[in-house]
Amino acid sequence: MKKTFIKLTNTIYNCRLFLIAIVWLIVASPVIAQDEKEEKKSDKPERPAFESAWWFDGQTGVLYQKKTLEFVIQHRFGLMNSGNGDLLGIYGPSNIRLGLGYAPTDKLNVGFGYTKNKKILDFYGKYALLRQTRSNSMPISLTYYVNMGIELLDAKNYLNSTDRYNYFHDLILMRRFGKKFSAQVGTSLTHYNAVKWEQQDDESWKTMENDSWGLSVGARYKITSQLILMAGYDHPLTQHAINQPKPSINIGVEIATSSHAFQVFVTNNNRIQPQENFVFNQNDFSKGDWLIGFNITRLWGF
Amino acid sequence: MKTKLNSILTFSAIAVFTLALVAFTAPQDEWVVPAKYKSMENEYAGEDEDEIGEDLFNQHCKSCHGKEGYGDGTKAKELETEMHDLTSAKVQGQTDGELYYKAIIGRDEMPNFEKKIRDDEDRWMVINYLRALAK
Repeated sequence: MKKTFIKLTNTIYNCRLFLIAIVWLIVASPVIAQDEKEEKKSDKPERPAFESAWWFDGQTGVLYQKKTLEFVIQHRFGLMNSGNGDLLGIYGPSNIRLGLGYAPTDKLNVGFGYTKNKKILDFYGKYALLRQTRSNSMPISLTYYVNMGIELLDAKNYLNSTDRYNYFHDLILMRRFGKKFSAQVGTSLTHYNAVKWEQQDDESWKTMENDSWGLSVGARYKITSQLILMAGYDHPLTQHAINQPKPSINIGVEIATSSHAFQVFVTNNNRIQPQENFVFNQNDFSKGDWLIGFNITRLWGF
Repeated sequence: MKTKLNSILTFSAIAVFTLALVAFTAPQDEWVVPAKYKSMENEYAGEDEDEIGEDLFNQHCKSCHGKEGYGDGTKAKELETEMHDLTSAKVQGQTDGELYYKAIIGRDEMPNFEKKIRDDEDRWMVINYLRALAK
């Protein structure tokens, strides 16, 4: 435990400039950007910083309005560099998640989904802790996202039934900087009941950590009313003795219509649950392990 | 006998065709706007903060009403309802409250947007953008 803490402290220390820059950008800029006009605005919540609640394989800090039902299709094609002549991975092995979500209140979204790879059934909840206001009396939005994944593969794949479970917690700090630009930073903690372990040549054993910290940053830029450029970076902070997960880059566009949001992007994440990518992603973007993915969201208001 | 039957069939076909033509080109029923809406005051008149009205129009209205509001959107031809030019004097001559009622409450093929655009300020931004289209 102490060793893990020291590793985590070192990682954060190494990233200190980056973290300071992000925090400064989010917290300090409203003070700089504030003008006289804003003082007249009412203290209503700021308009959504992102078009959709989904952000590649993760979440934005956006919550849907009360009584909104959401259906989401998430698809990841095969690797572009597989060498199988499968049209940039489009006809390669894919991963798919279908999900349903609902907003019982303006501050709470809940839902569930099922993913093809590892047959993961997930349940999630998302709660608005703080909301950015138009008057800037609250300069940021803070959202807590939690999910639980249950792998439904055959029992022979697990020593104990509890080995199927994993948990993901994410605290998302988000700010809408104006009509065109929004950004967010998330700190996550993943827990897997069972992780990989390997016997070494000297017959000792090395395992991955059960708890993994991660950092993710993302931003969007609105090119037109309906076309949005989006980019994100996920960095696993925890150092594992084996199978160190690779960071990921996601770049794409979002097209928003009256009831749909279409996100098409390139990424080096093949998995769809964020915890899977933070702990198991072995696709290295620097080696060209890119793939195409998309998310389609359909919303109904009741 | 056969000639008489042919004449009846021809007459019936013409009658059905004429009726169908009349039905599709008949003017729409008058759209009565309740007095409450008619006299509604637009406290955000002239504003379009962060171009929200334009964004919402593009997101929700453009596909039928067209980018410039001429009623020539990609979905317009699929509708049975006659599309009006939003920049015309007939539309622009209505009060903000009347436009609000028709744009947000809707009827028949014109959807209701109360649940999609919940913030009253945002709704007025759409009306303001409709006004700006005519300028």
